[in-house]
Amino acid sequence: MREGFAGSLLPLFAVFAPLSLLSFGGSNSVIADIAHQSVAVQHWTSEREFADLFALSRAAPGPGSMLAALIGWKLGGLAGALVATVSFYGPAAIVLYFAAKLWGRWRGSAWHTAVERGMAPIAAGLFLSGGIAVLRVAPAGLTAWVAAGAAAAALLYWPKLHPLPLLVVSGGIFGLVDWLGLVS
Amino acid sequence: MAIGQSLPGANGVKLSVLIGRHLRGGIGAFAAPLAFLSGPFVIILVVGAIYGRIANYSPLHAVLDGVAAAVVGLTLSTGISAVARGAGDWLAVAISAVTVLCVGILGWPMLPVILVLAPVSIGLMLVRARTA
Repeated sequence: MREGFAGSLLPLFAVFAPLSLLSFGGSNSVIADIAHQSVAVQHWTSEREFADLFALSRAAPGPGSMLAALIGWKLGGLAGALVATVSFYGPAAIVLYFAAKLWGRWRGSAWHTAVERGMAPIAAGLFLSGGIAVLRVAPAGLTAWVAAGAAAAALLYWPKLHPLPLLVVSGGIFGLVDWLGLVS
Repeated sequence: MAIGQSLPGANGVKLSVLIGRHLRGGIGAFAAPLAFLSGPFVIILVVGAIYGRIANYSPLHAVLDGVAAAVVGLTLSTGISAVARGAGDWLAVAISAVTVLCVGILGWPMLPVILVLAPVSIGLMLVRARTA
């Protein structure tokens, strides 16, 4: 068990705990690093597995940020899933617990406003970077870029569109094309 | 309650910590996010276990490629609308662009990028507020 801890559980903590503290704007802002770490640095997943786990984590009901749990599960079963999840959510929750009250007290001060205005464009940039990072390791290649672009355009054009039908339609089209053997 | 984006964390978890603390203090702040995450955690383990059984079935991967692409589209549209909201503010757009360049295109790790960009961005916003 000790070998298991050093082998997979400790690296899970070492990757996900810092990312917890960097998830400005929500857990989706650190997708770029999760993709990079999982595939290229730690070799936790192949590009194929990462695309699968990423899709599953967002298609499953829930807050849609259970990617850490899935990666942890793949590496170390239930213990891995628990360690990854606690590492990914715990540190930010602890910071929030101690900082929120203080943070609220400074509301209206010049630097409070500056922090909010300064962090918002970084969070937006991290979201876009996450999308790009996932596409760069996507096994579907150019097709994935086109489909993601089309989905983004649809959502920007119809902001009230629920994303779920979009996931189903996109998954269905890719599945059908594969089944018909249209692409090798 | 607006924590916004100035403190890190998943938004649902942040909200549950604050609501839990508001209702039951420290115990509540500990229990509420656990309760919030436990359902999705069990679901995702079931999903993962099913995936483990059928991962060799190749058409599954094509379907998941399609789902992943649409999810990326969702993430991109969120990012694009966030940038568009500040489109009149060239400084905010420039900071977003530098973030995308460093993390998305050059693939640099987030930690050093944020450690440099966050103080610069906050400092610039502060300076601008003072000089405006």
